[in-house]
Amino acid sequence: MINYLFLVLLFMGLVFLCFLPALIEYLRPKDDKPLAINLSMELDERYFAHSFRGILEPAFSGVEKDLVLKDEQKPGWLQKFPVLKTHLMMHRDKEEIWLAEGDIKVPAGSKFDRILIVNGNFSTEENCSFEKELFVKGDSFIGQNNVLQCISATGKLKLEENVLVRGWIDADEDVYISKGCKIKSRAASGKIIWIAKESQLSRLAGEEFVVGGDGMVKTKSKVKEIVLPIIRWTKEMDAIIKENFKSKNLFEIKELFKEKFNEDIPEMLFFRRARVLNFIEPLVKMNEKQKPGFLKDNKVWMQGGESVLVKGNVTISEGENVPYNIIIKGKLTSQADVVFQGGLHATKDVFLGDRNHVVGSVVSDDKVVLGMDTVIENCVDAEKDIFIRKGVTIGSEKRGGGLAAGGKIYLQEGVSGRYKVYAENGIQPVESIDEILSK
Amino acid sequence: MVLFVVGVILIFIFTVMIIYTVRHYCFLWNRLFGKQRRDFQDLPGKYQPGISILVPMHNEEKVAANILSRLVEMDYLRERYEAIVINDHSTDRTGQIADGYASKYDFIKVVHRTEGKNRGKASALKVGTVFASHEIILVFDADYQPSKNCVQRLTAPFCDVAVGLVMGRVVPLNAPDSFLTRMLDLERSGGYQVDQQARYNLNFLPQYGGTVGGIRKNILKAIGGWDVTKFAEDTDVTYRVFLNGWKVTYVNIAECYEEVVHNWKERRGQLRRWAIGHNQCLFAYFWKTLTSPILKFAQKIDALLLLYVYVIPVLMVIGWLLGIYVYFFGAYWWWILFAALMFTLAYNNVGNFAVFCEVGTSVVLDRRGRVVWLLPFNLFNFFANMWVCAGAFFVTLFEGFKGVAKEEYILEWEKTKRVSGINALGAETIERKEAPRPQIIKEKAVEESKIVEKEVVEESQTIEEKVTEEPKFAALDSALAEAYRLMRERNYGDAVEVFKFAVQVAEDATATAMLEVELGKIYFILGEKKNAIQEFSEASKICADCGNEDLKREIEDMLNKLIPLSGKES
Repeated sequence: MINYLFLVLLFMGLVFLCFLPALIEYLRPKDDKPLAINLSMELDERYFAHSFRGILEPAFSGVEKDLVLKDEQKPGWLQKFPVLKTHLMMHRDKEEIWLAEGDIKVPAGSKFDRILIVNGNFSTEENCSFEKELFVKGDSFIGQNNVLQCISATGKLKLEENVLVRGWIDADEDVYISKGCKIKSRAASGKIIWIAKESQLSRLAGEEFVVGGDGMVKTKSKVKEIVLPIIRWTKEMDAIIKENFKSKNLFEIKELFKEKFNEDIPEMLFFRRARVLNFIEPLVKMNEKQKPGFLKDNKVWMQGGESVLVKGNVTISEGENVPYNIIIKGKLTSQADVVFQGGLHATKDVFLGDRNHVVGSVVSDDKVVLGMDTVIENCVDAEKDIFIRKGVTIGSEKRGGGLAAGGKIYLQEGVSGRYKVYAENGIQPVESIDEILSK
Repeated sequence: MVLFVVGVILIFIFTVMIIYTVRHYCFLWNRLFGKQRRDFQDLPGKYQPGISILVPMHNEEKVAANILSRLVEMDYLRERYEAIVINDHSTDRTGQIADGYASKYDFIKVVHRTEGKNRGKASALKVGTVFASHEIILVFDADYQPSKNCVQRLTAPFCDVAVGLVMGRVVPLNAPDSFLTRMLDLERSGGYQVDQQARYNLNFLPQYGGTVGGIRKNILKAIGGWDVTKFAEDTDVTYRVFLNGWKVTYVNIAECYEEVVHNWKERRGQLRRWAIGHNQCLFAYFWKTLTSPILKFAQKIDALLLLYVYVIPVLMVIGWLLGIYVYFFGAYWWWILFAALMFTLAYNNVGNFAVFCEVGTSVVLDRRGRVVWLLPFNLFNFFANMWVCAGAFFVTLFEGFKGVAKEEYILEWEKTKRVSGINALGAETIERKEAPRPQIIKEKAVEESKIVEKEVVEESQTIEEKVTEEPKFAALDSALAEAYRLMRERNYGDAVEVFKFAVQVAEDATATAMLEVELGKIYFILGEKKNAIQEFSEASKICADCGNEDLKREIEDMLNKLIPLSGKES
């Protein structure tokens, strides 16, 4: 009997032991706050610079005159400039910050290991090294083979050849990144970022970026957007769509409209109208008559929302017109001058030929290769690498834009785009995309 | 023989438990060591398509101001952004609060539903969708408080044409309130941080939770809109979108606070509602999922396992009962061990909405601390889940057989009572912050200057007057504007719906008659002469005593024209 009692007590004790920590936390809570969300956080592409400036700006508001450095305390290149010194807690460390007034020129081979604020223009000669951040309230010119931590400028910023930046760079005006520069984090600008080939970056965020040659010449004009017209659909028109939707493809319907109404209506709009009129049930297989030539060998479903779902690899020949959003469970290859009136998604590689025009976005679960002078009006996103040939334009005024890759982004000279670029494994301007692809 | 049958059933249940356990450990492995899928979060910022945010409300005076003030502060281009509050048969001051905001901010619109049989969230969303003028629809419940960048983050995945639905992360704001809220905090944490994210990573089906998420308007139309007959309109939409070949995306970083239920009674109601709704979807989509021509095998399996989540408690209850039987009548001792093992497996890995390993992982990923110590207390949650979900399964089953479920469920709001009304930013309840608008502005003004006070008070009084006197006219105006817009676009089908709504809202006989005339005209355009005659006849009856002779004449003329036409047809 005692044995049984002992066993029961032991069992209950063990059960209680499981609940003991829970009981302690419940009765004396130490971690009962809701998970913290920063409700006020805005998405800011230039967050680093803005936050850095926000910390530094008030640093000298209460500095007294005796903190003005004497000449013997300053390096030679700061001798003729008034310099203030203060300390600030940054990242748990107490940092020394210097504030220099005037246009400063740093001679070759100089080294500096404090945070520096320059109230004026700032330029360096070759082989200088700055171990801490720089904040320039003016234009900046960084000489060849310099090593920087981070730099923020309120004017223009130019990095000469082979500059290494361990963190980020940012300028309110244009940023120029010369050949061989390496920027480990992001390059941001309030205006245009000009990138020379053979430089390496991780992120780009500016109003626009241009991959220029050595001469840094902007080669691309603004995107000519495809805008679908507004059509006044009549009963007669609707009747014709209804009559022919199952027996003809959209190109044939378009010809019919040209004949009957003398109207040149983009094919996408017939598809859209058919959806509005409920002629498209969700996930209905497209019959052979409805299929355009480039989808003849594929299984195709109309999804009901201006999209078609295609199984298998798709090859689109030169000059074709894709009149819907296309979701491909396979690989997409298009030849030159193909127009996509919507967006496209492929689960495998996407190879777009030269002078293609995509009104929506290009998304791939694998890699994306864009041909010369191709225009993507919206975003490009790939799980792996993205290869962008000369003259490609990404993003538009109306639809915004962006370029993101889970791998690397290779940009050939002459590429320009709006807004932002992100690549997990870095952005690399190159001379020839074919060379990289062949490797 | 009996023992053999019992044994077979127990082994079946045990196998199901093992399958679910393996599934959850796969999720865990993926979340900890697998490749995390990029959810387009490198893109938000400049890509800002037009969005309509729907906020259905039913007696939400305690929380209405919180969500509306969050939407006002949202970081998004104003010209591409609108918020539509659907005040659905509220009997408290919800409508007034919403109107107060609408009068101050152009992008906020309020739709007041005061009549009509169909109530409930799905029905409110259906009405709200008619008024939505942008291509993407986002939904927030009234007790939610999204972060400033939440909308941008939720919108980003829509740049991919394959994405149909997007879901964000929900975080309980009132976690410290009670024992239950702390348990639910853990559950949500594991469910979103690990389970949803892993399903998205593995290209399976992350579930749209009915709030903090969005859908493309054209896709919603294509799949037939919100289904008012389903208790879980969110699960229903998730499956319809997924089965039609679009992707459902989960954005873990799009965070939003919510107020979770405070007491067990509320919890029971919520759970029952979810379980019934989910089981309705199980019956509706089981076969379609199994036979889908476009889903991969693994996607089908996971989608089916997700559909069966609320059936598991039934299996477990059966398992326990059989376990007891085996204990008393069983011949073999290992049957008992088997039943005990099943219980442990169920408790740790299946029976709670977020299994223990997932909760633990989420606590690590969220860099939280001692909160995980509470995990064993989930036992209470576990038993509650078992009991309520098992009951709900049979309710769905039997009412489904009887065929009365639809009529019963579409008529009313089944919602959680709001208790705290905490504002995540200032911890102020709406009673102080927004409701007595004139007073609070007055108080502030006194501190600053007396002149300002006078101006502000006058302004506030105007708002208050508007709010109290004309809430319905605001709705009627917006309905008419929308209806005429739809007519201009020749979208007569939707225009009919909006006019019908306007008829419900209008109180004045002349206005109602005029709306009936408009409806009649649309039916005439659509060639539905019988409906047109019906509407004109209705207008004629309503207008009999309205004293508007011109209108009467117009109606008579129309009827005179239509009746012979209709006669010819017949």
